[in-house]
Amino acid sequence: MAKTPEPKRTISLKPCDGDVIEVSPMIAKQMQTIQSFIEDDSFIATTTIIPLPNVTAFQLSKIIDYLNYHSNSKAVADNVKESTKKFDEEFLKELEHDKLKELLHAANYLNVKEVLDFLCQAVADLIQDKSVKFVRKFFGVVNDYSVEEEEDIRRTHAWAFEGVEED
Amino acid sequence: MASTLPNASFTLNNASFSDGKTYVGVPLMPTNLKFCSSSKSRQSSHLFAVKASNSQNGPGFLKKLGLTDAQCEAAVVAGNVPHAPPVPPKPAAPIGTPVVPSLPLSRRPRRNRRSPVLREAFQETSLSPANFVYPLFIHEGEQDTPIGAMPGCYRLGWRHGLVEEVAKARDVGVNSVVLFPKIPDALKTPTGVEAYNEDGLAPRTIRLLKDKYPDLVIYTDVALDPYSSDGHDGIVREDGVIMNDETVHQLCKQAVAQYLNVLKRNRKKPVPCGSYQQVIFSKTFREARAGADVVSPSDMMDGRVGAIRAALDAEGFQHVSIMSYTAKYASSFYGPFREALDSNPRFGDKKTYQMNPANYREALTEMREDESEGADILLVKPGLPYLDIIRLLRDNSPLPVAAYQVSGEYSMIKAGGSLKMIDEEKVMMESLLCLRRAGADIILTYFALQAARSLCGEKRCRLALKSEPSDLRCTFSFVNANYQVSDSFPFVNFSCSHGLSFRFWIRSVEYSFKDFALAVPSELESVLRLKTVEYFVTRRPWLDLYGVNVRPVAPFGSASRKPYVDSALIHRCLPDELLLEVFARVTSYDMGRASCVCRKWRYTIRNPVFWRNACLKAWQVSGVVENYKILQSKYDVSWRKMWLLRPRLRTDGLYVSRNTYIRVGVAEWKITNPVHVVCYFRYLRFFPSGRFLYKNSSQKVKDVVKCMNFRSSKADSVFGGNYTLSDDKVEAAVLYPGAQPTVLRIRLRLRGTTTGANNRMDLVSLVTSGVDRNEANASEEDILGVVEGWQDDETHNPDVPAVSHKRGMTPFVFVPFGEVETSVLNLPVEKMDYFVPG
Repeated sequence: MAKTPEPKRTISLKPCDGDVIEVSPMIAKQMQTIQSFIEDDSFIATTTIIPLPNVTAFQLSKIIDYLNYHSNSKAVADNVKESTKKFDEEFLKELEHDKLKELLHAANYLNVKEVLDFLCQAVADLIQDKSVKFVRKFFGVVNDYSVEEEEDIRRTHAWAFEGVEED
Repeated sequence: MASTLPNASFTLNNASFSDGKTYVGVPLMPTNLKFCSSSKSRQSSHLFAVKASNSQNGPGFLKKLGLTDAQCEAAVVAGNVPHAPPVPPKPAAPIGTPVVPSLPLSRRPRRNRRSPVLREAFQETSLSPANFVYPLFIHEGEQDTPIGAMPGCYRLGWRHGLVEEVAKARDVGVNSVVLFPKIPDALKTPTGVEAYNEDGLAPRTIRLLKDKYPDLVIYTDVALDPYSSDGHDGIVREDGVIMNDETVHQLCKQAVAQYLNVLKRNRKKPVPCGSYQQVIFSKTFREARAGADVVSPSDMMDGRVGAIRAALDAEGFQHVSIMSYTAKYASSFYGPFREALDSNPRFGDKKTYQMNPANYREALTEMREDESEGADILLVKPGLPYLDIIRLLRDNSPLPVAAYQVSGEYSMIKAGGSLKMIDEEKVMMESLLCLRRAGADIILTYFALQAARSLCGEKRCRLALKSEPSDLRCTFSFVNANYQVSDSFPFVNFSCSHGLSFRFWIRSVEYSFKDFALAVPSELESVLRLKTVEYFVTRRPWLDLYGVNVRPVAPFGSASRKPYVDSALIHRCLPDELLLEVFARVTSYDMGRASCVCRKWRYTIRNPVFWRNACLKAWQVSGVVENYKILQSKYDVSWRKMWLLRPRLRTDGLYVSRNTYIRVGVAEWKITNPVHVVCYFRYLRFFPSGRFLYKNSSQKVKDVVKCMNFRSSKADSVFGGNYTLSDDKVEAAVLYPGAQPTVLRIRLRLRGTTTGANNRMDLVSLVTSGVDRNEANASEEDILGVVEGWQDDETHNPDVPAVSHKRGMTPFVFVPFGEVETSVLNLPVEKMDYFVPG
């Protein structure tokens, strides 16, 4: 993972709002979108500011926080598992729902696998054991089924509704 | 660029039309009207934005200094030339362009084509909705039935679909229609008697349309084929010859006289008729009487134009025109039309009366005859393959020429367009323009509505009326409206589905629409209190001809500028692959529910990868190879189907069997005689690996669930064992260790309350039997393997004989982990009164 670290040099990222954020190449390399840029020419990468028009400062800093924490904790032993879990929970708690979805979008744009996995799981947990109506409302999905269609599809999916509260 | 108004915008009352280039204000209703363009504008809004801002700062907006002409001239003479934009630099050619001397050409036709304005100025032929005649198929029904070979065309219900379709066409300036009735088979006769029934479909329809739209021009088709049981345009003689009576003239006179006499006596009774001409004439009259404006004999019989003219005149219908099918070829392009009317000839073809496609001069003969017989319009059919014939007639006759773009041409363009081989709209417009160029004045085309809409810039506009909350009488908030700006009549016309229609008349067309008057029908009065009217319209390019661009754009922050936004943030945020990622992380049950959320989700979840994973996990004991075999043999290679239909043990909860029995208690002093209701449960928890846990206890579900795992202590008396699943049959065995090791063999059958639920299990048999110590030791790992093949009563340890239990065999009910707290099985015994005897 760590190829001769270059601690002195940092990568400058410019989100669409706010100021330039400096990150270590270690962190930046986890963002696939940026990684390709760094690999092309590491000199330019460290001297120029990389603009990220699709990412806000808030999202960028959240992603960097997450990567920082996890790359640090990975270095230590397993006993941090509990604290990592706690960190993750805290991390999610701070995000409002819309922010979560936007963050997911940003993570997708930057193509950070670790964060993507984590956030997808978070969204999946939100869907878990929720009624259809709740999910629709929560995600703001418009119901594009007609009444008959919905009845029909609910009938064929009755097995999935076993025990779920009717909505 | 048609920038004719010097000032950018003016607003009168509360209303404004506005546009990127030119702003035109109009006084409308005493309400707040907001107009914004639809997003379908073909010119980029970006371009407009730049232009608009330029014109704000451009020379047109320079402040006047109040100088006289003399002063200005003097300033120039003195050398103070006012500032003007510099000469633009020569645009660069790409690198590598050869440097050559310019060709010595005195005429360069490209000069006149170099800009859109010049091209438009020198355009020789133009196309307008007024050139179109819209052919419409009608039938007796109320529903519109699609015509298979003509996508977008319908047989319209004469009282419903037709009236709507005509309204739509009128809205975009197509005010001429030609009607083709579909006659029920039962009314078809060899002589086509139905053709002159005064209350037949066509006359009824004409009366209805004329009543509703008095200014509509109706063309009627005069031909026998829709009425004839033979599907031919004339009466068929025994030997198959289509008769064209030599004595047309005589017959005609007779027919007219006969018809009129009968008509006087009994208006409704159809005339018994034996002659083709007779039928044609009666039909002509009937339709003229009903109000047709133009009758168009399409039968290609000789001499029928003159005969019809004479008959019409004799009856007093001098004003009714005749559009003669002068050159109607025996073409194969008519196929879809004949399907529409079900009027295919039953035998033979129409070559004895329709023209041979190989013939050109013959059209001249037909033309001369029709001209001399008094035709008002000459028609060529089909259109595009016969452009030379159109040109021939145009050059040789002063009469208007019509072209019929027939069903085959229509279907070809439609098909090509839907296969994305050609750009349907562009080809459509080009074909129509070419017909005009060849010399056609009017075009009968199924594209009439579509083309006129295209000419009008945009298909449909939306008039959104938002009612004030206080006005409860306005129950609707949005109304769809059609919008029309006609180029020949300067008015803006709205009509909407609630029967409201209002019209803004433009009294002066001098580059501004200052002078609007609004006719507000009484129904609209309550609507006057509506707060805002939002209006989406797009380009109407022909208005550029007036030098005016009235494309209304909302003055600020037009919604139409924004791209379409899915309101669901998750869809905006999550590209499809991320949605997949999310679904890959939920359980199959959540996926089932998520399918019901919306279509997009449902289609995403259809992805077999999810179901493959779920299946391979659920039946991992069978092994991957076996699962694939089962998938192919039983479930049509659909993992989803397999998941739903193949019996499967659920691992996300406990199977619970609740058993009760009654025990008589000890009597005390003969006063009380207690009866105990004893309740105990059998618990099963299965794991995908082939292991399962068994517990027999009187504890409730919510308590038991905590200890149903492999980490549980001995005190919990949870026993582990192995199971197998084949079809819906479960074989399971547990070993009770101890001084006298005993094996418990359970046979179960899986079922479910609904497909795929798998939430019930019948207890088929329950056998305990002792095992000897060797067997017990060997079988710690695979107890099932040990007992395999044993008979139910096979005793291996004489101290513990095999016992097949007959009690406590209630079926198992599945309780998912999510519900162990709330399950009814937690209720105390006395609450379940149905278990208490007596």
